[in-house]
Amino acid sequence: MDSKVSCSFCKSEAVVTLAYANNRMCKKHFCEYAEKRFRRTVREFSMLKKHDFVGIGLSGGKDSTVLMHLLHSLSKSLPIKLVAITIDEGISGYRTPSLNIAIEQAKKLGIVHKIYSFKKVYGHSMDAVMKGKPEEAACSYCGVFRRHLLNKACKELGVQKLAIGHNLDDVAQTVLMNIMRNEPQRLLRFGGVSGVIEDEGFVPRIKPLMRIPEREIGLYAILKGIPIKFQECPYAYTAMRQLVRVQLNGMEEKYPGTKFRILNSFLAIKENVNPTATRATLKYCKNCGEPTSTQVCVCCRLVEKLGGKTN
Amino acid sequence: MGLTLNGKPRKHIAGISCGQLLKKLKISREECIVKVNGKPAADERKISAKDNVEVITIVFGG
Repeated sequence: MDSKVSCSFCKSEAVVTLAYANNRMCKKHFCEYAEKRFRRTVREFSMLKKHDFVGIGLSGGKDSTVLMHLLHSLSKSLPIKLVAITIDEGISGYRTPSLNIAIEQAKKLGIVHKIYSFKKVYGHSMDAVMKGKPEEAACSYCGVFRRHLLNKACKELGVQKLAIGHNLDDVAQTVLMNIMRNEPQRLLRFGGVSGVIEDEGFVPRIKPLMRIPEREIGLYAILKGIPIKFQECPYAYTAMRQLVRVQLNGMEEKYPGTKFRILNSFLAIKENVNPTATRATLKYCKNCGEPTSTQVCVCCRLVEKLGGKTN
Repeated sequence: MGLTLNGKPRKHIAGISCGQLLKKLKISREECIVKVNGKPAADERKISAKDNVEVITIVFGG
């Protein structure tokens, strides 16, 4: 008896079961399917146009590395200029292996690569920030610093759009977390292209992988031979997102397609909301000059709390 | 032949599918990939006693 199972579209051996689509795919059909979804998402949200200068938020993890490969491949048919931007948070044992992958992969594709570090800009590495604070959520520092620094780096480099590797899982988790935290304004600013706030201080963020489940990005990397270090951030245990991820994966297993339905429901709701209802009044931070809704931005307040100054 | 879970050897279970193996190991299929004889496999792929099975966790936090 043959224990192998065939692709739903050809006679080749299947490498994946897509429960939400009720089919199985071989390597060729799966890779084509993933690439098609990436391109379709770019079109659906009008994420890119000819001659855009696009920054890639490249951590060296699977999502951003796959994103860089897909954008590089897209740049052959759609002339866009790419630059990879890596933020070194300073997390020992975690960032170094992925940083090496980021450097190696950007070089392999011939993409200019810029590295910025928390330590250099904010005076503190994440390890230093978390020292003696095991009960605090690392992501509330790391996320704020990373967003702030990426935006700053993009403006410094003249980047027009920043592509980030948010996948379907990230997006579904974010939607649920914003609901659970009662943050409707923040939820409605979320999307394939960042928010409804248009301001020259904000470099728009695009999420071309938002319709691809995280597991499938990992599989794509394996099938394409893209080197990936599968490892967990040592501070991930402090995040609410972890709990949401586990629950959501449980729901997806029981009710395949849950993540897609969360995303699609959110997009349908967003389409029916008057954009002016979610527009915030922007100011510029009196310390660093970045856009903010308050006098001093959250990043500068956090840096101040740590006893430093934003460079 | 053998079963490894994230590089660590485990007792081999033959005669079940990859999807059933994950259920037995209480691992979410959303967070890992099963490789049979070095190649990613569909959930329905039956595991025989001769197969080398590898479970790799690919979804992490952070």
